[in-house]
Amino acid sequence: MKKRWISLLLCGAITATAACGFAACGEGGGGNGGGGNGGSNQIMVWGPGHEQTFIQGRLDAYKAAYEAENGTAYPYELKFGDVGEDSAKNKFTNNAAACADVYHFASDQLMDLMELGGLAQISPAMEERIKANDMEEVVAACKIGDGYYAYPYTSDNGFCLFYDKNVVTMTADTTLEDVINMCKAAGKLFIMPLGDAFYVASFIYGAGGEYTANYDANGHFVSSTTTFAQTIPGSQYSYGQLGGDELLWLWSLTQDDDYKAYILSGGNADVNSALDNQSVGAAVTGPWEATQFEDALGPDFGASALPNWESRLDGQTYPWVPFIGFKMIGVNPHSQHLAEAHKIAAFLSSEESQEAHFDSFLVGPSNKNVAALDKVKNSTAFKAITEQKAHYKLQAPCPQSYWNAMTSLTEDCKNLAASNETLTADQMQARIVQLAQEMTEVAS
Amino acid sequence: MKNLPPVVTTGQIALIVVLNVLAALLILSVVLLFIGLVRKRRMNEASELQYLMMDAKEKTAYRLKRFFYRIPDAVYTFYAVLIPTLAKKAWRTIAGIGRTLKDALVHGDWKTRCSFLVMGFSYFARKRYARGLLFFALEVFYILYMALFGGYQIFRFFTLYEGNLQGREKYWDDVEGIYQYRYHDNSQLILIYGTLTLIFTIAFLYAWYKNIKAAYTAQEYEEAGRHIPIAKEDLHALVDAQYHKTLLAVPLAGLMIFTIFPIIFMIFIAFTNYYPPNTAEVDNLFHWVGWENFSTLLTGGLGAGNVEFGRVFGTLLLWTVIWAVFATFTNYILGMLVAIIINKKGIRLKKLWRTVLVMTIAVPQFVSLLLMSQMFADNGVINSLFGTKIGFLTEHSLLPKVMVILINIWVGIPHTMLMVSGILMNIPADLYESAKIDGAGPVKQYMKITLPYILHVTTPSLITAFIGNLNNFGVIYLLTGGGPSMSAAFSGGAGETDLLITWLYKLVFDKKQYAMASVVSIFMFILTSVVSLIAYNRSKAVKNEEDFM
Repeated sequence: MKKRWISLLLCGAITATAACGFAACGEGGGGNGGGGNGGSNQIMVWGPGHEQTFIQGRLDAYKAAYEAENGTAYPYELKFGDVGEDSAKNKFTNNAAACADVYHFASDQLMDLMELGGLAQISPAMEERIKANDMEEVVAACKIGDGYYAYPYTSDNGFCLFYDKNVVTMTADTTLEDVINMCKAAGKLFIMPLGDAFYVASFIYGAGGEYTANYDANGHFVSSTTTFAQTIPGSQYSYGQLGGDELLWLWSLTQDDDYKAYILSGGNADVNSALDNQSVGAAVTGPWEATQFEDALGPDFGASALPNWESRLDGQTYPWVPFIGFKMIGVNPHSQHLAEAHKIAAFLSSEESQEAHFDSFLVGPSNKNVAALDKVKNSTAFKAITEQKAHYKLQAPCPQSYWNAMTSLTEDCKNLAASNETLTADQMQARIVQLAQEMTEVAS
Repeated sequence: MKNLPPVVTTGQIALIVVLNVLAALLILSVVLLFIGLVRKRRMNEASELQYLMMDAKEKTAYRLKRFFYRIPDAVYTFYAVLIPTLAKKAWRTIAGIGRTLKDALVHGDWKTRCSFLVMGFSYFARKRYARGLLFFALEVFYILYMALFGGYQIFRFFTLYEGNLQGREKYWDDVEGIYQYRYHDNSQLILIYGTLTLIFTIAFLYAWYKNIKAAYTAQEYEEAGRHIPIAKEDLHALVDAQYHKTLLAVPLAGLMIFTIFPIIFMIFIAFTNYYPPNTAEVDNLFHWVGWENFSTLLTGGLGAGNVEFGRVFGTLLLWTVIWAVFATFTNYILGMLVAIIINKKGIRLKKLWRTVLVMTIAVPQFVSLLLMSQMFADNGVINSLFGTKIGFLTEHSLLPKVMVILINIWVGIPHTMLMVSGILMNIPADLYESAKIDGAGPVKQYMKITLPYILHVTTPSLITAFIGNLNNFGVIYLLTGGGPSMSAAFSGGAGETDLLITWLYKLVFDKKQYAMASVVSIFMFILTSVVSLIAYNRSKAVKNEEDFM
């Protein structure tokens, strides 16, 4: 009899565990789901965690506006979920139906999100509105095939040069080497994320190299082409050779006894800690660092387009051409309340919201009216990015093979520099041919 | 528009099934024939006298040679025993079912015969309403299910899509003033529901058979004048004579839902083209492709997403086996050595040595592994300390593989050491004493007493360790992440130190190659199950269970 009770107890335990499991499943599904929840009146908005208060404030404003206009209580429950612009894609990879109704994302994810079924086409009326109000280049980036699939939000997701005015003086003739030398002379740091594929192709683009990825109207990747390995007309070098050589030179400076104390390869975290101990001379970074620079340097905060660079191979001066991307707001076609989700996305990307966004984060708006406001126009970072737009490369969607190939190039340069080795022009060209081949490989 | 395959008719499906079965039989017979031929090339085994006349070196060489020559034999014996046994069992079951049905039809009275059509009828007629109602309810439920839902699912199951509609469709909604989306077939859901319906159907057929068997039994009871149990007695039996069924119902249901059903689903996936671009949401349709994925893997052609699955699979399989052998036996042998050394008389501070080693167990394994991977990184502690630039875990050479095995030794030895220590302390000292009296040296003692003792006890754990190492995800994933990557093209993300299991992870989570991943895992299952079954069945612990007890 005792045995029977024990086994009964065990069985009960198993059943209870299973039941809890089911309950937990249900909870998880419900917690995530805005789109997939049939019958629920919840609308989920995803945005970056550090903007949570701001976005929630905007949602409250939207709700208040609705209630003031209609005189009735707002029928939906608006929720915020912490999913940054950079990770929207990963969430959609798993289950688009369970993703948020409205979400923020960066322009380079557009095609992937389209392919994953995460973008609802916006209506012709709204299309007219964004065409009329937002910057041409940002609106163009929202277009896939014949339709528009995202609401433009910011226009300055790229990098330029931020510096301490006491250390660096920028003129039209200032080159990269000059900037580094100025930093050295002042005993301050020049910081750039040399290991990050997002930054390092900028020299090759500066030399005139091109890379294009082609997608069809469903967001499927079709093919990509690049001129990186081609010889520049009227020169004996290829685009990639010049750009790669410049990259290798920068890496070698990080090992050079005279320079290594004044040049640092590092990202946002390094920039922030350098700002804290007041050792920043200049940094290659973007508007997301603007508030930190403003706080640390105050009136000494200077920003400009990236300087030109003089190639060590042919002695010519080339512009430095960074990626500039945009941030957008997308609507999940799985949403149970699609019409309302569109309205919320339109509100979040409206002129009013973009101005509030600038006020809070100094992030450059895509709305032309907001961009024309004095406070925006004269903001140090936004001015620099606007200046930079004379030479920039749109950060269009591209397959992972591109990033992998660039990363491996800069890794190789790093290793060469670490062992005090250098490449002859021919060796560099061979490496660039490999790079071009890797980045245009059919992605699997 | 994606090109959809033409709609397949039921006749064609039947033909495909028959052809597939024939192909499978053909392949099986060719394999058996091949093994049979290999078996013919047996070595001339020495007689006992010849063997005894050899010197020590020759004996070792002879035994090694014989071991390898006997492998095909072992495999053959395994299959020659397993397959006929399974076939016999299956045949017996089917024949038994047939006999019961025939008996019930031929010898059954009208009450029993009616049960063929109306389940539970026999019980109703014999005034056992509860049971009758249960069977009848089951039938009604099944028919309703099939009519309302299941039949449609089965119909779609054969094509995995319905009509020529892509995953979703966009249309203009004039009222709301927006583009709306309408979602069509999702092959994955069709496959899930279809599989579920198939399982329901099989379960129902089983219940139907049980119903007839029970009806006939009830008839026999009646004819023999025996009492047919009433509902109360049935219920009582469930907590008494049939108590095991009551207890096992919930675990069995859990097993079905969480293990068996996903496995069946996964096996089905292996026969579809569920890989990019068919995994994308906008056209999430895939369809049956028969044995295509298997042939891609076996013939080494360029598969979906331009991955040379065959070549990668072969390379990784070889490395997986090498890894498993080294990882298992280095740990085993070295662990044993350490245990013996510590256990030796005259070694001082035994407890200290054991504690020091066991400390590595106390630190969670993933922590030690991540630490190691940082230490040996290109710009890690070791390289900085010695001013070297050795790519311990990233070089395109043997080095990363050797490093992985060495680091695994470091985390693995203490486990074996602990286990063997326990066994060593249990070996009766008088065995050694009498051996010493007979003039056996330490080597002889080890070979004749210690080793057999340890082997006998630890073989099952050795086998488990080997299988575990074949699928040792953690060590590889945490140490190298599979890197360094193979030549970038065609490798499906595989790296040089990737085991099949870590490659599988990459295939699923990075590449979304669900179908191919499924095929790979089926092959892995075959590999691990064959190895473990053969090894376990041939181990001394199973054969001579009573020894050393």
